[in-house]
Amino acid sequence: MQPTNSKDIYKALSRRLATRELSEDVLKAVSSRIIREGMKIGGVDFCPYGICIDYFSDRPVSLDAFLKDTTFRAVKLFPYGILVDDLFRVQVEMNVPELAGFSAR
Amino acid sequence: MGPQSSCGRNRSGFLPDRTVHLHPLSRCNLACSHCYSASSPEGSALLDPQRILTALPRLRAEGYEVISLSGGEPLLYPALAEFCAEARHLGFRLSAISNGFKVRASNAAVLDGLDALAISFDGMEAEHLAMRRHPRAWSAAVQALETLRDMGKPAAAAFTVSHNSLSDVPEFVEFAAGLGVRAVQLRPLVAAGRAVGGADAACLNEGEQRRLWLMAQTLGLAYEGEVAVHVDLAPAAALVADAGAWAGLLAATAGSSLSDQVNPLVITPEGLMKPFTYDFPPAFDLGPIEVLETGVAGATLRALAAVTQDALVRLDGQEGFIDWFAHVRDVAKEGMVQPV
Repeated sequence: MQPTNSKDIYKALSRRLATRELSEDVLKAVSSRIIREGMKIGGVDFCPYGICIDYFSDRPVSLDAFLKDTTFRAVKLFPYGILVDDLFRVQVEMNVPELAGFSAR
Repeated sequence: MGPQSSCGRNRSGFLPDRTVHLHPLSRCNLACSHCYSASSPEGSALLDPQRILTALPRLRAEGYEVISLSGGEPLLYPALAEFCAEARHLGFRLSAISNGFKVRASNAAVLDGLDALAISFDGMEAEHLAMRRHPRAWSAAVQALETLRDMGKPAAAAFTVSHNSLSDVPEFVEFAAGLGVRAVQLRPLVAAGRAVGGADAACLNEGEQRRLWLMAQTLGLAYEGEVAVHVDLAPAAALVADAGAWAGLLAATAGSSLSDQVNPLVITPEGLMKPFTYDFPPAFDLGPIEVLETGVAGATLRALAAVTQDALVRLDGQEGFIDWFAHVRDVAKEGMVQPV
């Protein structure tokens, strides 16, 4: 028997989304937390706690504004500095128990 | 991240390339229940080959670099081989979207004129057949992907996602990956053409759009390095954050090219130029392709800029997932801003 790899886990999650096993309420909560004004989404991934998002911004990021009204499990800010002096990357982890079973890392 | 693309060239809207959507004919061997251009075997509109061949150098001079052929069924266009040869000679990259019936090894000479081909699907077999209303529609589309794979031709699948086909998406992507496609484009059904009044009930609601977007993210991870999965939806906030991409239209200066301002440019079988979508309100028509010789009316472009600006403003603060070009079309249809 082959071990389950990360791609299989993502396929399983996509099937759960397709068959509506994840409720509209959960999806609405997830998507409203993903979207942050003024930020571009660089990638979505799943972590042991739920969902991880990479954001990019070409303006300095105000962490106070970013953290307002939302609780993240972890927030990492990467100014690209001399590589690209106007680019900021913010990586966050959010607790979403309904998605936590789909961690691939 | 700003108004320039990664290659340093100024961006023109949200598309990666400056693209012409060319619909050279309204005839199609199918009459799908949801067709946005209401094409059918009875469709008689045909773009005079000489007109479009004459327009090609002007389109190139305006900065367009990709021509995406649709229809009708583009492989039924009588002058397709000649058109492709001339377009490639001018440096255009060519792609087409087909229902697959004419994708055969015996047609290789015509297919070789295209850089890439996408085969359109509306679901797995049962739903596809219901929408296409032809008993061989599924087998023809599948055989087309097999033929392209055997020819070594880059192929993609364009999947129209409706209320009924949403649950087919993961199965379809797996199926398409098995047939060697390089990309799957997930396109939410748009209420246009024959879909208005009939199939529009099958359009995705807000919750289904949200579900599709998340599904596309997971499928993108599941097939990373194998099949590119793209969805024609974006978070409203991300579109607003990327508004600078429209600087070419919103802050047009003297000397701006048409491709700086209108991307994609749609050309109908009647040879009419329209912005963004086949069914964009006629008040914003840019004129027949012969107008390229003298230039598109500035008033129309300014009105289009006002509509685009309005469309961006309306997204500010929204949480939903947006089909951008359908959204701009809807704003234009509301008639909040009209050409002067």
